[in-house]
Amino acid sequence: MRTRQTNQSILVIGFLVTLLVIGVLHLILPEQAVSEDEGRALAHFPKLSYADALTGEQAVKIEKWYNDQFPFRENFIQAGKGWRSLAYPNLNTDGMAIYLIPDEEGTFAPDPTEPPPTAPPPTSEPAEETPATTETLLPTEAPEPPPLDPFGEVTTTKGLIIINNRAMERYYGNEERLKAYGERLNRLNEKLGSGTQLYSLIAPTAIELYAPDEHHSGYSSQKLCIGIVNDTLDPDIRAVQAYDKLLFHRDQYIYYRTDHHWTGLGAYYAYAAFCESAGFEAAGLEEMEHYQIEGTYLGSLYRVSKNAVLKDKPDTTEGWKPNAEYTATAWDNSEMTVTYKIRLNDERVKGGNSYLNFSGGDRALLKIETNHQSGRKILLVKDSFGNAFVPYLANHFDEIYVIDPRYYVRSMTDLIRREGITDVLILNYMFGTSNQTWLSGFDLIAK
Amino acid sequence: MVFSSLVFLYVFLPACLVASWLTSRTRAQNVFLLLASLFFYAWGEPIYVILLLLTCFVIWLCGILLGRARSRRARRGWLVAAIIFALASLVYFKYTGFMVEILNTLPFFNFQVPQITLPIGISFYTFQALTYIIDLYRGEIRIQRSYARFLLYVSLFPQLIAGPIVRYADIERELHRREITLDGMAAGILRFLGGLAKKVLIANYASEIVELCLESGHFSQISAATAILGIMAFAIQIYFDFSGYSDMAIGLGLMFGFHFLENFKHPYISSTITEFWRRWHISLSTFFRDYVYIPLGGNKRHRFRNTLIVWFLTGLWHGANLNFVVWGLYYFLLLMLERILILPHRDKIPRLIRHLWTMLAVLVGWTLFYFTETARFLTFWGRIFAPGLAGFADIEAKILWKQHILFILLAAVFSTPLLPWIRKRFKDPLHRLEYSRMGGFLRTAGALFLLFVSTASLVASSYNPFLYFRF
Repeated sequence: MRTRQTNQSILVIGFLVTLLVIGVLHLILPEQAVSEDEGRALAHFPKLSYADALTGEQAVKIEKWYNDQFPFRENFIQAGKGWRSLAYPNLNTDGMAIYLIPDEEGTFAPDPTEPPPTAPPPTSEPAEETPATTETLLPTEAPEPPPLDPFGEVTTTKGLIIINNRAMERYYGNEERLKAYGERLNRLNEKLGSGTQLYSLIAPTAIELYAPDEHHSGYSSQKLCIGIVNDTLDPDIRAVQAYDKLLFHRDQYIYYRTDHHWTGLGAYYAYAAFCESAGFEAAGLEEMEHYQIEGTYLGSLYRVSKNAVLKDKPDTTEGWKPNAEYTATAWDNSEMTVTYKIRLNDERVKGGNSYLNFSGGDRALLKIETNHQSGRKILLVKDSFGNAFVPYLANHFDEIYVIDPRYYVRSMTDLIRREGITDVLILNYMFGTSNQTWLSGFDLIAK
Repeated sequence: MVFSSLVFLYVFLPACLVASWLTSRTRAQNVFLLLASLFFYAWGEPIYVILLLLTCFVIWLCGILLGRARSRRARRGWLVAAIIFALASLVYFKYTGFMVEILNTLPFFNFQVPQITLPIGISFYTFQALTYIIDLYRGEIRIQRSYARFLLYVSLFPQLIAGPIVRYADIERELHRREITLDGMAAGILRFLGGLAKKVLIANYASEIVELCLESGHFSQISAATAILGIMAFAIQIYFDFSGYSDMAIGLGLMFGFHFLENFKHPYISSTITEFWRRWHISLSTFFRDYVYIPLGGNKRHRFRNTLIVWFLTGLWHGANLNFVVWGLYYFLLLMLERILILPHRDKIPRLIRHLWTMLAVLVGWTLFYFTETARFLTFWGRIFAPGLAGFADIEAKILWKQHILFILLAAVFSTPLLPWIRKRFKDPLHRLEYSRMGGFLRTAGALFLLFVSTASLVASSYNPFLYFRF
């Protein structure tokens, strides 16, 4: 009986002492000013005010202070996180992002801090007869797309799946947002009037072409989602059929395995599809100068996943230089005062920055003047997928303007009118159709 | 203030405990508990604490006058006055906006919908106060002559804002004289920590699964399997949230010498709807039974009408929204059907089948409860019966199921009387353990572990709202 009493006392005392010790420590421990981990200032005891007391705001502020200054807060947070990953391994915050289309491309974008090369424009050498390292463009519509290797083990991490050494972002389309994207283009089309032809090109991502069916069925099907956009478009907007071209060449190296972008070759097939829409004959790969970027490339999807298998199998980058003499000028800041001369294909960019070799990365505005006399000028409104695509346009157009709505802040319609632009291509990748930064930038400049 | 906040756990609670242990005199403890309770309420509702004081005062005064009244008519008059006052304030603060919205659907009506903030806990404390005046009129209890003591009964912080609805009769004696015992304290602490863990370690996580399934940006496109997982997670969330709160309330009551009745008795093991409602939110269903259903005639007169009224009110009590009314009426229909079709033959139907049918009915009920917007409710059922492009189970559903079904199943197992069963099954060894030094340490260590993990989770996350706060 005595033991039972003692046991009860131990419980009661243990409980109360714990509460009291922590309660008292809270009072005597010095206040912390900032939380290094969270990178924010911690709340201090609020100034008491009559008004706050009446609305209940006082209590909210005091609780905020109390929670922020909780004794051993960092340790408790660590313990809480540890418990969470132990007891609810599938509810980590990364897991929650799986099905959210990233609103900000930020984490996946190539490093924008890489200074653009400021070399003089390359004197375009006449295209050498390079042996066709890659096969020429097949007559497209083969009845079945090329088969894939058998699927190996599937790894799921941070919104990605990794199969056969290839990391792919999961996609999940939202019908309303897709239609809204199409409506945006329709509104622009109305403003353009009859003198300018509008095109829409949406690039699917690798998961559509390289993952088991279940990862691209239903609303995860980018074919379906691109179709939803295209069905929304006014009939006089031309929808570029890049999807099939890419699908039927999926046995080639058209998407990076460690990065979310297409390769120079993938962009080439999209360009070939564009030529069909725009009434040009696409330049053959063998007609252009081929180059290979030095060093290997571990792209955005590797940086997100830090997956060891990917690390062992880095990507390489190749490209084709257009058959044209051109000068390319880039503007970076919104005041349009800082300009560079850039190369559309810059072999000097190496290794980890490989994708930046195309068109100098994302710029607010890029203006390319070529030696062609076709009478046609194009405006390309794009996200980073457009960078690998731009050089091929220099095969045909007299002038090429490239704007990235995330950085360009002036009126797009003014630019079109002022420069006498004949063709406008909106090129986005599948996720970009719901990227808020891109879309609000687009709305701003399309006014 | 809510129980699962750090300020409550590490400031308010230890202060109250120490203060009430300083004296063994109930009167002194009462004074302190009353002040603490009013402070507890005013922490989040500084203005509406006046409404609480006023409601209590009016009902207490009606009680005094009722006691002095000579004639049966006068007694009845004071009772009716108290009920009208209490219900009028409940209706005004809780249902005005809803009523105006309904009026506005009629032609020629177009009032501006008033924005009235719902005073915290009004649905609970109004009903508590009513049990006093009605039982007093029925002669089942004695008059409470002290306003302060009556106010203490209504505002007692363990049960003030989210139940259980404690009847005056049940704690009448303890309001005047109670003892804080070591056994009561120990039992109270374990009960409280168990409730805290239910809330913080189960309900909060279930709510994240609900969010993943039913609050995603592409809700209109989800597959049937995702929808089903979401509502199952909600069933887990609401049970552990609400019963966890009741456990904390009962545990706190024990720490201060009060004995509240049970509010939940493992409702998810029920094999009929009738049984479910005997196990779910018991203090509410018995309130309606004893203060509405039986006075209306109970089973003897107008049984159908009485049942209808009770379930209409039960639904309405849960919120000023059409979906709650429909939810109540849904249970009315189910109970009627069950009484006619199933109960007479219950022995012929295997228990497992009855149990599954009951759980299915409860889950369907939770969809009515969860979706306050009709459009979203219809979308949910549309996705189940007419799967769109996503089909019955798309890749999202497969992954969500794979990731979360284990948690839901484990939580479901914990919602059964597993622990009481273990306690019964292993009575002797557990008994011996309880009387051993080792067992004592183990139990204390377990309790403090729960406290530690709950605290760590609370510190690590800011997400901590109580569901039953809105009622």
